[in-house]
Amino acid sequence: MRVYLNGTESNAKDAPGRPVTLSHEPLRIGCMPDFNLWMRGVLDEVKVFGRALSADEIRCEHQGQSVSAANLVCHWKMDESIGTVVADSSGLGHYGLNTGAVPVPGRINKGLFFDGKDDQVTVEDREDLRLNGSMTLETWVFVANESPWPSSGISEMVNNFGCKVDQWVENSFPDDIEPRMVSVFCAGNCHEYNHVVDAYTIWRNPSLAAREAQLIAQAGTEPLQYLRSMFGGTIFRDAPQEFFASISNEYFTDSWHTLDIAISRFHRGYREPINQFLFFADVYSQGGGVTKVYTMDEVGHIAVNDAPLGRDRGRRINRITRGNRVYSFVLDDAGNVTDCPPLEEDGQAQFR
Amino acid sequence: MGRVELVLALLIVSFEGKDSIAYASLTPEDSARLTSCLESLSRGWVQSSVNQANDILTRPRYSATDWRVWFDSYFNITDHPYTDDLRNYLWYPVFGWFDDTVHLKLQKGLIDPMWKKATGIIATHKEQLGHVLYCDPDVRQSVLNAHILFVQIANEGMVDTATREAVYQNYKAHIDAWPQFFSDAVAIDVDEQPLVALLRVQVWVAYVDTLPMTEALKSEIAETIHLGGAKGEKRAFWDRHGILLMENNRLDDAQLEVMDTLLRIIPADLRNLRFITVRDFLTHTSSPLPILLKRQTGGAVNYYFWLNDGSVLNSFDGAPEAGLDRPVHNVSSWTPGTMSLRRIMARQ
Repeated sequence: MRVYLNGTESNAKDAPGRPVTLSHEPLRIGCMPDFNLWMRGVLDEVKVFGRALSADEIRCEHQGQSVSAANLVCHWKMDESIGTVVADSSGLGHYGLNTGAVPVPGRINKGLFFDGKDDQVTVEDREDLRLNGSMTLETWVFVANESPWPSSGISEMVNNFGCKVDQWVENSFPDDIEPRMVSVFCAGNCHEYNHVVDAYTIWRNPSLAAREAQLIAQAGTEPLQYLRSMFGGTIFRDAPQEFFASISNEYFTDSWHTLDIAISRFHRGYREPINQFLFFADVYSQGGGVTKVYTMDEVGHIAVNDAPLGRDRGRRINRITRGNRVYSFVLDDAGNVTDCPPLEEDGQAQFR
Repeated sequence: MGRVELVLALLIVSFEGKDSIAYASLTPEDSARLTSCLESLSRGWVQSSVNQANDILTRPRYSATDWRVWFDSYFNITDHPYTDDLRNYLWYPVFGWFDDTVHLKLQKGLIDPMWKKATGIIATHKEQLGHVLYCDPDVRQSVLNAHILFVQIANEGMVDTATREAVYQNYKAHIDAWPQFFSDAVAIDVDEQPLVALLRVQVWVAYVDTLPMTEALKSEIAETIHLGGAKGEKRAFWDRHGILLMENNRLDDAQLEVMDTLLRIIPADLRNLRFITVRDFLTHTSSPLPILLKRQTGGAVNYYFWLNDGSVLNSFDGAPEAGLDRPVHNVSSWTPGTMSLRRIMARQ
């Protein structure tokens, strides 16, 4: 996926192998109702192409020069002065229904101002809107300026967002592993609470804090050296406070599945994820002989079990028991895993 | 037009600087110079103003009473704003630099004037509070920063138990007096009054933080803010976990159950979580979100939750740089919108 801002590529990300979910819901402009996110500002000249425009075409569009209308699926000029219908100039008849957005001067003729509360344009679902190949979304955007917001003093606090427990799921795992779908509300709360665990438990303990810093340094910037690898390794170098909380997204979604990832990665030459798993398990063991293992699902069910641990003379975890299966690890002097069990036949790690 | 307005603003500042209000025991020279310095520091960090203000604020001959009278004049009689920049500076002499004698005098000297400032704003603007908070940055920053001062005093201050008790009773009466703003039984229209919900959060946090928690206090706090008045499970959550949910009564049963379950299965010894906000329910989400600031003493961590609609945010350093032994980091989170969390190891 490539993002262009003012005709110039500003970001790009590969997302190989991810299926595109074809929604039968109406197309909405100006809001993400499930996240309760509402656009505040002006949109103009919204276009959808059923193909990826080239960089040159994007530049031309930005400069107001015409490009081929091939595969143009929708074009809402938003030039209407009155009424609730937003005309589609593509010729395919995907007219929109405007509920609340106000006509204002736009980039080209008129645009629509969305108030950030409940304004939106909805477009009825049709088969030719369910794009599952290359596509381009394009619009002029003016985000309304708000006055600056204040400071306030908060103690030992996390801040969550309020999407419904069962409304949204995310693939909480990286691309190289079988996904688990999980309630975003669950994962979000879990992530934020584990920021507090990180700060309260790890940062106040010199040996845990040192180990955490060491793990980040060892992992470097290679994404697959991190259990939560889909964001790229640099995020944890730039923002190490996300390291522990990000592991929790995987660990709480399915701890054993996360261990499978770590072991799989180890045998592919990525040796850090297993160290990260054991570090997380160590924190949750509170130095004892048992740690917690978790699972979460799409609708907010959360389960926890105990997993017995073994430790070496340095009190470092070198064994963890999963039912009748025992995972044993060989550690070096620094506490890093140098050998771990082979992948199981029924191994939970299934690579694409 | 802009030039004309700028000239007028300078004239007003100059006039105030020369106004000879009779401050109790501060010499007229010190009073005028400190006024000028704090006016300067209200707009940003100016080292020469810092140096001059430090000299005056640490003079041994000035007592807590002197400071109470002077700060009352500065913040209330002449109605100077307590801006974010001024809060940033004042933390250093009031809590950070210098010795405990200085800290105690300044903290005691600030309590009454700041309370008067905070409550006066509510009384003055009660009919249009949301609008005024949104449109007037001086008022907004003054009232929020005044309450932040009480959080700082609660967590880092040196004042005695009787003073803390008095602050607690002030908060209790304040919450009782303005249920439309501070009662959990009353949902706030966050579209119409987006900052009132945040003020409520700030007031609650200061109220909860002021005295060491006991079971009796926990119950009294819940009753004062009518916790669970609109949704009883929030009171049960508070009773069970000692964590205050601040979310404008929009969490549903399933969400509350998830939060409850997570807090039961994450060992309590691993965390010191006391407050949870739900950002979507405190403001409409298309707007930039507030900075949420925490200073903690006794522990090892300062938290800065800086929320914004931008991507990666710039550093805002409200903590003593000299004490930092970890770098300050910002990051955009994966949540809708963007959340940035900075955590700084506290001064030891």
